[in-house]
Amino acid sequence: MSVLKFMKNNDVNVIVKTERDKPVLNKGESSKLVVESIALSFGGQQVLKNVSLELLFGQIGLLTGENGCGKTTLLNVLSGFIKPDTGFAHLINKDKIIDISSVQPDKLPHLGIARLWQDIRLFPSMTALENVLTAAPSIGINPFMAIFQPIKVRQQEQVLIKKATNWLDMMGMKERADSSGDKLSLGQAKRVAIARLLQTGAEVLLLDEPLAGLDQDASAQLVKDLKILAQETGKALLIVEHKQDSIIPIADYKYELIGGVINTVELRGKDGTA
Amino acid sequence: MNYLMHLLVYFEIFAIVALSLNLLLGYGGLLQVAHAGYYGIGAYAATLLWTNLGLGFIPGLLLAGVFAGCLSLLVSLPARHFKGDYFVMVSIAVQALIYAVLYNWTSVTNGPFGISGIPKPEIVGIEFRSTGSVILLYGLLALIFGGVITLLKRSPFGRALQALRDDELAARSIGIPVDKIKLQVFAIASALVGCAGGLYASYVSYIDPTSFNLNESILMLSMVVVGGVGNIRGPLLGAFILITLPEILRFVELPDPVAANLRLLIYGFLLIILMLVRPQGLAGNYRYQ
Repeated sequence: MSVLKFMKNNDVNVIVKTERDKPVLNKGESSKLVVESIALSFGGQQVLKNVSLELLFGQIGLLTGENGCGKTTLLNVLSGFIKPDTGFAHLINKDKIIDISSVQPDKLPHLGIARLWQDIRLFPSMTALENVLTAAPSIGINPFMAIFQPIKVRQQEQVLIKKATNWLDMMGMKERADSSGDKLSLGQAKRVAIARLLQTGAEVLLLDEPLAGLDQDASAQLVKDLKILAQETGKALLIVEHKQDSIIPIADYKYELIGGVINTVELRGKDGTA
Repeated sequence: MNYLMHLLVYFEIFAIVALSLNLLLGYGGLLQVAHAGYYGIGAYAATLLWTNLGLGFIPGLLLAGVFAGCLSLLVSLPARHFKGDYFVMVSIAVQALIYAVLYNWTSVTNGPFGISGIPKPEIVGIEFRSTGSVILLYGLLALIFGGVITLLKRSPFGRALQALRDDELAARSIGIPVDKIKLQVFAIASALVGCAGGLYASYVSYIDPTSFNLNESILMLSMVVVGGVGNIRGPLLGAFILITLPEILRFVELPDPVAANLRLLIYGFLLIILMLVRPQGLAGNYRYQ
């Protein structure tokens, strides 16, 4: 028997499912991303066979595997763009469980999961600050509020600008806030894109190849900043990365995707030491 | 002088048309070729509300806009799933459908004979009969509608629309409710152009379906493309050029038997040159790839 509850979260109506065969919220349970026995086939080929993992908020997980093994496909499932054939993915966040596959992808970021694309996908016609601002849940996205309550919208906008500027600052991009999205270098664009994810308020960030195309120095600096980000914000980072040697020093878990199955390797002790 | 004033009224009406289409194409990247259809819906709805129900000028005009917006919402609900070329095809079909309804639903629209004797604007007992007074009234309304569009453009709604134009997938992945935004912007643009249709009907006092066919939709689209998208001045400039250019060509002395066709030829040629020289439009700040 399934129990359906309607909840209000950031002006998004969500159906939160709790079923007997799916995770049930236990009192005091840690907030985390839970993936259980996910399987997915494309054109007769089984890409994901039995994928399971758990990632607590504040932890960093490294997802590795050969080219074409299904890493990005798994990110597509976790960001709601593909529904798995079987299995489930849940976000347990404080007092609610969100069934990822039952939510539209455009609702997921404000419910807790946001994703960085491998090809970044900044909005080229906007500045870095506008790119970040676009991700904020805002009352002004309602056209009637925009027309009839412009002062209220502008007041909220000031708060959102402050928040966006803080995220840009955290990612070392405050000085480039007014630069156009298409005038940023690859490394800068990635940093702005991560600040944009942070502005969504998501607790789990899925990062697809954040170091791709970056030189050694830029990679090292970004890795350092990602570690600080996870520590200071308590967000969970699931990172797909070919340059695994760069991520391993900061990761808590390594998830090796081999033949559609995940092999989990714990990299750090519970005290946070490597 | 009266001729120039008449052109100015046309410019004011088409300024609203071009600005509303710019909301779709310029800010949202949504190419639709059914704008004249909704313009016609607004014109007929306003006419019927004024003549049959005896509504006042402004209530009739606003209700006509709401009607056009609601109709667009009905069409957009299933059509929003189409993308790119397919969406354009759907909008052409909608345009053809609206034209066919206006042409064939004779009991309501009087079919090809159209509706005449549409009342001139009258607000709280003040009649706007002279062209000069209409210029003032329509200018004021164009400013109000332009203000509404500017408010939308500068708001988070406008930013979300711009994000949708730049990269729909990225917009979706950061939590922008893409489908909802599309429905809303289609409804708003259609409501605005519906109001412009009402203004047109009241000014010319006679409407028939030929003013709201596919050619008109393409003319409206040309205004936005020629002027340039993504800002306010582009569509206004486009509307000005496309209204005045054919009029200027009237004064070019051409042999009578071929004058009309030659003018069209020159008109088309000038547009092609313009697009080659400035593909982003004369005053646009966004270039479609």
